[in-house]
Amino acid sequence: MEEVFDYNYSRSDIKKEIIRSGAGLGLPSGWLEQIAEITTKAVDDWIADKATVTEDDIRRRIVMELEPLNADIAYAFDNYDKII
Amino acid sequence: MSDLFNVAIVLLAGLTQASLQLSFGALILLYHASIGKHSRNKTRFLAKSYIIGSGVISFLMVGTIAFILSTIFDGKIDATVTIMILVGILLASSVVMWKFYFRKGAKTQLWLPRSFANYISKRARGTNDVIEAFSLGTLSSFAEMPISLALYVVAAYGILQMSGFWQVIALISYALLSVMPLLVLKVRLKTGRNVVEVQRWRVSNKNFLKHFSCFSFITLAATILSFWVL
Repeated sequence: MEEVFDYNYSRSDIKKEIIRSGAGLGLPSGWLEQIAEITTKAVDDWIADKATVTEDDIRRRIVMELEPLNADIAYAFDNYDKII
Repeated sequence: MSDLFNVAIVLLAGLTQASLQLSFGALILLYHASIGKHSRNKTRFLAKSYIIGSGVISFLMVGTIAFILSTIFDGKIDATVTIMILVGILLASSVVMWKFYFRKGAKTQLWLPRSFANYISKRARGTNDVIEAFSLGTLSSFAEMPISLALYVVAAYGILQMSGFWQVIALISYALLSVMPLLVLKVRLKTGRNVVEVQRWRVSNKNFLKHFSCFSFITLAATILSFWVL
């Protein structure tokens, strides 16, 4: 099936957000790049066979992919809007 | 009544103000965004500016209300009726802290309308200079005003009962106490904790924070009822 991305989906934006989230925890940049690359690739593969996905679906998938790589970044990503 | 009792009441009001969570949450967001974007020094300056902004509002509000009380009411308000109203507001605030302050779930979302909370989050994450950080500190203090106004009034009235020297001490102590959690957060992050650990602690101890705040309001209400009315 041909890959179709919602016009809002941006692999590079998600990668930047993951890196920013991890940098906010003081993690090394090289490691963050790898984590972000692995996560965004996994999300791309997951999206590939979906006709429609929502932003919340993408967020949940990102958290799921991040969790085994670094629990703190996954937590920060998941809870960015639950602090105040 | 001795100055020391009034100082104790003002300090208790400051401690109750310190139990409010909006400023703390906004500072966590500011730290998280800033550590990823800026140097350590800049992050420290931003945090300092934020804390100063928050403390300045407490200082100015208490001072202003004390001034208003002393000029309009000539330093005296109808003790029984007005203080009973204050006691009622404090007890109502304790119920608000218990039932409505935190939203339900494994999160520390507060009672604020979501659009305003998102605005503060966005500002916290987008803070890039000290003026913005200072303004964010003042904004977060203002946002808590529906709950903290009664505390300011209690502190102002307590300060008016004291002699000149104790007034200055009490006012400065109130402002410092109100930002004490922010200072503790700054020290904790400096000594190796990260913001996720702090936030996890807040979520897992949400009930403790809620109860502490609630009982602080009740204790303050009981204290001013005992010392200023009975």
